[in-house]
Amino acid sequence: MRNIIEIRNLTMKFGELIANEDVSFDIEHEHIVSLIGPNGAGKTTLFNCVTGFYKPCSGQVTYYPEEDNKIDITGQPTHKICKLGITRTFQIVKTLSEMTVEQNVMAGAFLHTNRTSEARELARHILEQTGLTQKRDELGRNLTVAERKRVEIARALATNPQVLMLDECMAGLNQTEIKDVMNLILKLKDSGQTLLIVEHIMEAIMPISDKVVVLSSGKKIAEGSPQDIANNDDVIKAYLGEKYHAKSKKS
Amino acid sequence: MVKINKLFIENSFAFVLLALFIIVPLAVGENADIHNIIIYILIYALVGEGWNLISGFTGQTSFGHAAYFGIGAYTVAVMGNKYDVVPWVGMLAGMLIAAALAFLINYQLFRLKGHYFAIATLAVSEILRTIFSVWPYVGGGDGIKILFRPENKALWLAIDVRNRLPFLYITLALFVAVFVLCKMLENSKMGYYWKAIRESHEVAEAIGINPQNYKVYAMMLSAAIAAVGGGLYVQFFKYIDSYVFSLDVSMIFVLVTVLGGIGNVYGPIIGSIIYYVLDLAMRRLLGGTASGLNLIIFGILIIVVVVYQPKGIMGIFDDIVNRRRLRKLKASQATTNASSNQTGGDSK
Repeated sequence: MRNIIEIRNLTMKFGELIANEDVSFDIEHEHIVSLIGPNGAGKTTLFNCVTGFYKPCSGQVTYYPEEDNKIDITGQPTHKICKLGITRTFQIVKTLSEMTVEQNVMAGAFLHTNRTSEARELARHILEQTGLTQKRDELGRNLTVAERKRVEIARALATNPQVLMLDECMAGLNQTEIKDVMNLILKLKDSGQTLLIVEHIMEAIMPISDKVVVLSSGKKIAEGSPQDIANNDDVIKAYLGEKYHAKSKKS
Repeated sequence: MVKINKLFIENSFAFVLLALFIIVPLAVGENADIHNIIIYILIYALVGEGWNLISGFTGQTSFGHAAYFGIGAYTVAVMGNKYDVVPWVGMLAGMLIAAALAFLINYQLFRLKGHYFAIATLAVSEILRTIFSVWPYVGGGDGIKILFRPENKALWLAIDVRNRLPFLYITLALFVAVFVLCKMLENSKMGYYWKAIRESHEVAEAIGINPQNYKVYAMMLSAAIAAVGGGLYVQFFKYIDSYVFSLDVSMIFVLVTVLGGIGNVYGPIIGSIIYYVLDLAMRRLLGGTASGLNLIIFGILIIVVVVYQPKGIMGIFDDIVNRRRLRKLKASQATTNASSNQTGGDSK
């Protein structure tokens, strides 16, 4: 097992506000690593720092596309990072609304080809994989939230990433839809995809993760297997608050 | 053979239009007035196609395309008048200069977004207007009058005032070339990337597009096309002055595209037909008594289009076609549903 991304001492400040403080963890090859934490913990900021949307104030992000190939991607522009093989989705879905579902995915597929026919072929393959074939000719703006989140994943997949980063791809979905996305994620993992997932829904994220990293107020407070995290005192405290944590201890 | 058939069916609208543009000038005989109108329609539509690339496909509104149109016109005029350069070469030079200028200016200008970018493009054309109105080399405030020297008849494409047909068909050929280029670009990687940038900057970056570069490509192409239009215009009008850089001229290209359908390759030509015919009719009918009324009517027309059908006249066409397709789909679904006795149907 090798690391594909190493995040070291990452700090991001907005003025006086510290969004991420000294965060370090690794993402292992062909594993699902999830990033959880209460609202405002700095999960999306961390995402943005890794994918180049923000330039971190200090710290380093290193990417290993191959075993002995090391690239420092700290503060690189987003499109370069994407070309290297790290693609993200957005928490607030950004469907290309005046384009059809197929065109949305094709826009991603053009990263590795210049020919429209090849891009279309790849897009159709990915639509099949993500269960969107039926909606192929629908305009982006006519989709439901669940479909948009799916398009978001499909578009990112079309760039053929080594590491796929999903930002709250299940928020706002119902139980069945969450199950569908969980299955999709597991299917991707089986095909050798490395994933970093930010998620709020514990029931969905715990069963599929290989490793969970917990952020609270910008700091990493725990890291480990889902079982360890579920029983971790600090994590429970961060989620429930000191008062309720104390109460739960008493009973 | 099948491929050619498919080409015809998929683009039947374009071929009908093309046939009309070939036949109508012949059918009206030696009617120079109609020929004039068609030439102007084609020139405006040609520049409109260029404007459509940057503002329709890439979503960066430019209010300064008169800059590139004017550069094209002045290049042809100056090179032809002063150095006896054939207009074809002049047009090519105009394209290159316009594209180079677009690159130099917009590489920095694209840091601005939305309205701010639009205002900056307006400033560029205004700056050029001021420079050209005092620059003696290009005629200063007097402008340049295209000189006709009998010994050099081959120099100008549109020298014969009574017979405009050859020039009309040259303009048509160039328009068709630009139209085909735009249509091919729309279905290429470039077109997809432009549209992705228009819809969302962040998504474009996240899927590996460098928005800065692709916006500059769009602007350079757009400027080169506008310069071709300018080159044609000056040969036809035979006079040019710094007014060509004014907002009025920029607005023509915005108007024809927005009226016809922004982001649609058919938009500029449809819009141009409507714009120029309406404009001319109103100027001729109302010119003496209520001059300026045409501008008011265009203002109202643009408001109506933008509010009720932002995709212009082509948007209305598309709506009709889509509605018919949907009705057919529903009808076929209804029959299958009735036969299999199932509920559901519309899965939307």
